[in-house]
Amino acid sequence: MEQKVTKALDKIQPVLDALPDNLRKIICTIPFTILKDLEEIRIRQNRPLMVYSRGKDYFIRENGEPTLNPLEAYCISSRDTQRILQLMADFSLYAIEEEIRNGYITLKGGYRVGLAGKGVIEGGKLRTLKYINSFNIRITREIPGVADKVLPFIIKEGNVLHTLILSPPQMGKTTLIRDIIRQISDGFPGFDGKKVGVVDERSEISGCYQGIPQNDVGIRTDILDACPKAIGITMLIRSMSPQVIATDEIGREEDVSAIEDALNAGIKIITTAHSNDLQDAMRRPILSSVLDKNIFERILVLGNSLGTGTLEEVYDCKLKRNILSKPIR
Amino acid sequence: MILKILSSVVIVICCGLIGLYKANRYIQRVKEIRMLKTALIQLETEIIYFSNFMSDALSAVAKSVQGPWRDFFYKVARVLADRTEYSVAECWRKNLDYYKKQFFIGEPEYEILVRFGSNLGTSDSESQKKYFELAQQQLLVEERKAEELCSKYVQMYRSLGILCGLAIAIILF
Repeated sequence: MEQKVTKALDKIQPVLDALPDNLRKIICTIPFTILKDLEEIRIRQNRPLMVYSRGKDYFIRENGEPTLNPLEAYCISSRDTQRILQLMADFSLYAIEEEIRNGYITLKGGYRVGLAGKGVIEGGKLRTLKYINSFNIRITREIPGVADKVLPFIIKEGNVLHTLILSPPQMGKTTLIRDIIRQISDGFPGFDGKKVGVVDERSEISGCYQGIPQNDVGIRTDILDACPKAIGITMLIRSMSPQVIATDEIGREEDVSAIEDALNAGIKIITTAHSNDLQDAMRRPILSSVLDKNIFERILVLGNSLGTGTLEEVYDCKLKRNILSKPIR
Repeated sequence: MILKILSSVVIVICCGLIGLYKANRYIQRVKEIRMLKTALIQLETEIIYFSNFMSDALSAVAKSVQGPWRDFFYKVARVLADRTEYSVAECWRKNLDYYKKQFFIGEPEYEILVRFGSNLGTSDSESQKKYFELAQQQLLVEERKAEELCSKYVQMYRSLGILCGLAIAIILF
């Protein structure tokens, strides 16, 4: 048991390193049942420390025990939040000003920390955030093999098909695309690995820390970290000769035209979008324009009918119907 | 008689050395201010243009400075990398105090450095640049003052040491 706890804590070591001593001690003493499936650590100034695990939230006392009463939980002080920011920035706020402007910091190990505070606006644009007082530490998970169920649908006769993954938030969209990238890049019995280019605008897929991917994204994968998708896709086409380009969460008009460029260059595209299902996607202007153009050959829909990350539907865009007989997980 | 002559020679040498030591402090102060200015320019490049993390930037600066300043920059870099200190400001100040006796800089330069350290790493690169400019300007003023004092007192202390030694020797003779 103790070994399991140590292993779980080792996995989140980069997160623990970014916390002040007192909070680190508290997180280390959280019961294993909560710790092993930790999804988020929520830190909000002058409010109780909370963690999310298996879709439930818990207030955490000073001794690490979960409680239902927020008044008994450890209350985050302003000294805590200031210290967290200093530690997460490695005492160098200037080095992460762009990340602060985007509202998140990526820690070593690829863990993403969402930030909230007060915006400083200049000329109608957000210059920076000040009084940062809320942190959402997301514990990303690599699940090797999670794409096994999907690959037969998106690979045909040794070729990757243009694929769009639709999913509501927190349904394992990024975890899935990460494993798809890894398997396409590494190859597997019956499929030779392909050169994959990843435009990781929000550093979520590869979890790059100082340019080095912290998650396994395969041996033939090149990553453009923190680069806007539209620019990144064009750059990859010009310079890295990828056979497949993968990106996360398309949603802007320029993303769509960059994807079209890639198609014209004969490159396969794998991407994701926020949406509950195909009908929902059709109602959204940008997504519906992409769908109307019949760019994609497969559309995968994720949901939670059999638990988080269930593959609900697989649309074959030529046949214009769902080719999955029942949801699989 | 021989003893008297010997002791007089020793007195003159000692006083001369004290004079030289006093004069040397003025020269070294100017040298240290100049070195600090160069070190801050390097630190600014590391921070503003390369966007390196503070501990890496300070280690890089440590390689190009000498004496106790090298130890100071290395120590601050190491403590920041270990994450044992609350902030850069605290770490910077504690180590300045620790090494202060080994430095030749005067009180005004010490104050400039403390103020500079309290803002180090706490804001975006644009404002960091302004703090660097401010520190450079203030150090320049102090450098000029120190040079003036240097030209005024170095020769005086050198001669004064030997003259005092001679005076004491003559009185004792």
